[in-house]
Amino acid sequence: MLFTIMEIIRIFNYVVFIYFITLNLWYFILNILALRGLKRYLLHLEVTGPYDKLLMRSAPPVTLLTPAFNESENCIKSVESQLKIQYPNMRILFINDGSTDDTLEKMLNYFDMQPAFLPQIAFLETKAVKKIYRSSKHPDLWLIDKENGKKADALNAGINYCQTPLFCAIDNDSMLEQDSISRVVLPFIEDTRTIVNGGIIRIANGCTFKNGHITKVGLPKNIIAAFQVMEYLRAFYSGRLAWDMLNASLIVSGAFGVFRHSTVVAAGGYRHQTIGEDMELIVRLHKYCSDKKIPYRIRYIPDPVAWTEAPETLKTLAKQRDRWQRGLIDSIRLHIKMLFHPRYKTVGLLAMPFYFIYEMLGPIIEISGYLLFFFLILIGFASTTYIIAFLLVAVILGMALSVFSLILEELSFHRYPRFRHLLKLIGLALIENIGYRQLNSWWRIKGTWSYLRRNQNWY
Amino acid sequence: MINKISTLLQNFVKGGEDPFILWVLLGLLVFFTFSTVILFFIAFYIRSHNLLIEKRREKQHKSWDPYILGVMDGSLTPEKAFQDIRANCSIPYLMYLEKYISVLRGKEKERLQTLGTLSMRRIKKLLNSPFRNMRLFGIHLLALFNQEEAYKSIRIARRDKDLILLAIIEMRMARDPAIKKRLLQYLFGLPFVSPIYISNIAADMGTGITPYLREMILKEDQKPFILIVAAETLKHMHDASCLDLTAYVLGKGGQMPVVLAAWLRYMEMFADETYLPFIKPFTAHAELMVRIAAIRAYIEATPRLSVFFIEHCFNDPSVQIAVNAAEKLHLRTELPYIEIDRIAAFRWGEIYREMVY
Repeated sequence: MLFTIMEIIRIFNYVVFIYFITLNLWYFILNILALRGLKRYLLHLEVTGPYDKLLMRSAPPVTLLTPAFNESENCIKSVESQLKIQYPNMRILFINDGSTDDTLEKMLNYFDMQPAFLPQIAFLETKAVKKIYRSSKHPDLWLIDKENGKKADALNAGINYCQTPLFCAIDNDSMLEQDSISRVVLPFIEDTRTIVNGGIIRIANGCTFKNGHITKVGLPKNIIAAFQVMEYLRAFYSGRLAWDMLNASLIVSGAFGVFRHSTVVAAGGYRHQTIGEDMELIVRLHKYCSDKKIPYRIRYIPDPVAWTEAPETLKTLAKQRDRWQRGLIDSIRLHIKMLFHPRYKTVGLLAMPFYFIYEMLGPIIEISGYLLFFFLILIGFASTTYIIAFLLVAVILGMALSVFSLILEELSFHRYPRFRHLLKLIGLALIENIGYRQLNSWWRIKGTWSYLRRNQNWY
Repeated sequence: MINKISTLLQNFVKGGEDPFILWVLLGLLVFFTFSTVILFFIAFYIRSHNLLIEKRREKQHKSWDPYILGVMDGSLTPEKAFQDIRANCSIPYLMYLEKYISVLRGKEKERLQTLGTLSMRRIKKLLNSPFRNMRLFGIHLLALFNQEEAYKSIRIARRDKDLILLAIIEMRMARDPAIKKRLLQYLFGLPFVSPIYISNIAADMGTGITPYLREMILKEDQKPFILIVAAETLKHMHDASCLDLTAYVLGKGGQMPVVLAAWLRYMEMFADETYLPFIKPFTAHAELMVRIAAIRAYIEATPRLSVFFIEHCFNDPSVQIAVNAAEKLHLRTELPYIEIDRIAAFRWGEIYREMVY
């Protein structure tokens, strides 16, 4: 019996080791790719940037889809900021997803909205639409009032009434920069194959906003939100840029992404019964285009910015991470056939396995590794010196990766202008690996557990 | 090998006698700590370097301004200014000069361009640089200071799609028709660049390219992509001189739907009644995108619409036809009378009632 347990422990040790080595090798490759991608993009901006502005005379019309459920506090502020976006041909479609608070009344009164007619262009299945309104103050602002059906359902309702070739899905609490739409639309003009393009999400906590627009960039005082600044920088600079280079992006954030309407409708729109509707749609679009042999590109570019409020308490952050993990597992489970399938090229052979092994199973391996090491030390089976040395290597590597993302930010858009911002970010890069990272993994394990128990709550 | 690794791992976990693993771990620890510290310094260095460069640029701009302004108003000759300007062949200087040139016109612009051409030796060196980004700057600057000579840069850019595209963008204002023709040839040969992008660049070349576009359109077995770009370019230029070719393009059998739709959209822009017989058959085309374009063009060009045509639009199986027809009909001042019962019987009667009525 003891022999069997020791054998299992031995095998698990191998798993932890192999996981550790391959994960860091992957991160190294992704960082190099991200650096290349960023350099290429910056050069493109430098030289063809002025011409990109001229291209705006053929800017394709875009509809902003903003689903909202009980957003009474934010809805006016958010729509006002959207109305200030500088883009020649844009319509805003606010979707009230059966709010039980006064979101609808506030919107109707503030923007003086009157019942109006908007033809239904697509016929994706959604909960019933009660009424459509149009603002008499701002003719490009529309509101769809529908029965509650969760975020995916609300977005599908928006897609059904979207009259433009492109639509931009954004969260109600996201604030887009004035030129963000004109930047994010460019890949659609430049390359016919582009079906989706996402921009960067930055943390709004600590920044100053006036009339729905950012006036001063700063870092949050709250440590939990501050950790997320570093986390987002790492995710958007290292991860997404690298996957974009390989045309294997599996996530375009639900908070800010532009989609080709016809392709999304043909692929069936957002899936209702999933929690990570944004990731699931992207994976399905990869599948749809590959199966139909349609040449396509799913892009990410790092300069169109959407600012979003990050959770400031452990409880809300834990909920968010729990939801993300459930979304990830669901998207992978639904498209498990793509895993290691050569038809899906870099998506099937690289991105899906990466997300499956390191993002989905990673937290389980990481936390059980910690527990096992602790247990082995406790029973006197392992050397404390060795284990501590190993854990230190892991932590220092995490720090190095975070600082590398910071370098990418410094090389490109350095949005945090002050020297003390840089110092604070470096400090965060150091300490987030001790405690915060492990906590994150724990929440994600909890997410896995609640997924297995079939918890489908979104809001 | 596997056994060896296995023993090493077991020793590692057990804290066995073999100090090798500990040394490896300590080595890794030292290496990554050192790397992290270096990365910190790199981050600091970049931030400080950027700040220093910003300050240095400000200083340089201040030192360059009097000379540039002197050349602009004619109080200094370009040659004299060039002699006195510090770092007169540097990329920052040339890019700064560009900022002035891009907002100027007439003699002032020409004078500054002459000043820029004095740095031509350096620019030509950039074109031959082994570094892609330097070649990029080379193409950009060469076109800025000497449009007519700039076509040479295409040869340097060969096999690099982005560089060719950039070179064409930079040279789109060239006056020589022979250069324009060559640029269009290159432009139409670029794969995966969208027709909108290409037609925008082509439209910037001006109406001087129309004869060449006609030539390309009339070419036997012309590629669909080129026919689309040609139609989009003509539309961008508001050039009606090729409307007579629509009969030829639309009448050709086996034309792809995207081509038909592009040409119908071109016809929509000019609303010419004489072309109605060519448009009419496409209002019943099997492909939705063709039907949409045809119906829009037909409504735009027809002085008097029949009830039957409206009925045809609002009974189409696709809602998009009804919506597009409604958008066009809504803009018309005169519409035929249709009884309410007849509207109610339309498949998309609600759209007619709400958007047109």
